[in-house]
Amino acid sequence: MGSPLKKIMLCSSEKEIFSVEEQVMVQHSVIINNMIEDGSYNYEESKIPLDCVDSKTLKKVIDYCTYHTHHHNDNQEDLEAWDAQFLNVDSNGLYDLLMAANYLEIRNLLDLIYRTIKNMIKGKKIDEIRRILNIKDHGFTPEEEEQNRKEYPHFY
Amino acid sequence: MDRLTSLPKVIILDDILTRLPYKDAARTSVLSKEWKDTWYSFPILSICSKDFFSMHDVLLKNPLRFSNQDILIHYVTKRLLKLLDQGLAIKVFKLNMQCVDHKKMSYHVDLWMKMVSENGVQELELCLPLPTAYVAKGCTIDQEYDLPLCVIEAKSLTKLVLRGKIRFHQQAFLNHSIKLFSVRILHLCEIEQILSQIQVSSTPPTIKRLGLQCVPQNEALYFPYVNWLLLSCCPRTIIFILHSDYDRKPFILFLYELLMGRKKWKWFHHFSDTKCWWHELENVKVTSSFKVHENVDLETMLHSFPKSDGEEYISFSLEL
Repeated sequence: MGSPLKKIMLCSSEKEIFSVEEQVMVQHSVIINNMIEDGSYNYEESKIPLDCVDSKTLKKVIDYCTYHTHHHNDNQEDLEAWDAQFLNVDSNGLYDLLMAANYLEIRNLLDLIYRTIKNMIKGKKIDEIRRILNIKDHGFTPEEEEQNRKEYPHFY
Repeated sequence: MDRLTSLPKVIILDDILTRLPYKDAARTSVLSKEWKDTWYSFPILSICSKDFFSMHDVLLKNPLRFSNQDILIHYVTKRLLKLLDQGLAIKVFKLNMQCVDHKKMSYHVDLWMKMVSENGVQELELCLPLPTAYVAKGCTIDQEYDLPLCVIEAKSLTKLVLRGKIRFHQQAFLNHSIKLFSVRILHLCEIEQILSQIQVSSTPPTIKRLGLQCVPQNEALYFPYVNWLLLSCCPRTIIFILHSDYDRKPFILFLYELLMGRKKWKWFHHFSDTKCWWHELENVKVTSSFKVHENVDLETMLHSFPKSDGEEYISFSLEL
């Protein structure tokens, strides 16, 4: 584990540099923790390149990790309320966050996102899920769609 | 743009679909072409005939019921074949066939059993109750389903649940290949399934959790039954699933007394030369799904068994 005030540099896909407390990222991201532990990060020169994470998403990920590092003693309800507010994004934003959390291996953020997607799907009708997930083109021909409705009436 | 749909397949399968109740997961198959493709890689099948046709159709002899039955057969076969084509294991297979003609279906069920047992099935649940219309006419042996040999020989199988008129194949325990090799959880619901094994008792000692929905009615069968139970496997937990319409209380008491006062068994000459695991039993803990006052004895517990339609259970945790 690094010392609390040390900073590390993260570089987004737009080459924007973010300076973050080392402790914050080490606690949450398995990948960054491994990099620090095996000594492959050089505090003088290294910037961790995150080519598949854009600045907007990276900023959110850092917000998440920072908040959860400093508020992990808060009561569960407050944390959940914060999480819900944090994930109040459109489906594309959710997708970007998921990919970033997956890449950085931030397990509690991943769990949170999966739970959110699960709740978007659970107990809903097809048309509703399509709207929520922003599925505009389902790719079925009208005949196939008709056939689906006939074969699986219990889904609709 | 629909980007959540373009999530890597492995994330959708492992992290999203497995978290959803099966019905909700299945519904994603008609969301879009991409989700449909992904769905065909999902290694869990839970098929219930009620989703395809109702008891009502069958009783009224609605001609539609046959075409709906064919849709069901087609659907299950297609999903299994798609998994096989991709070289994927079929992890869980649950089949609940209400109100179907098992004679007509058994050809297909046999085929499905072969596919799943040859392709790494870990959990298998079969529920094949007889349609009430048949029960009223009296059930003949022909209407029972013979569980194919390939299932009990499947090395990957860890959980097996059998409900309804299902028998182990007559030849099942006659040859010497290893049976139910990795099964840790076994649930049986028909007395015939067990009685057919009493002579052969080749169930391996790996079963940790034994669920029983059936016990003998006839007191003369109590002993052979317990003999089978305790000599052929050493479960950690024995669970009795109770319905209010069935009286299993005398048997449960019988088993408990034997387990607790196990020394009394000595006078059964069967046991004089074998020292069984249950001789070492330290304690038998009884728990139940229905509310009882703490520290009541088993008999009182059984008497307070609620009269409801739901399934309640009493379980014996055996401490060695």
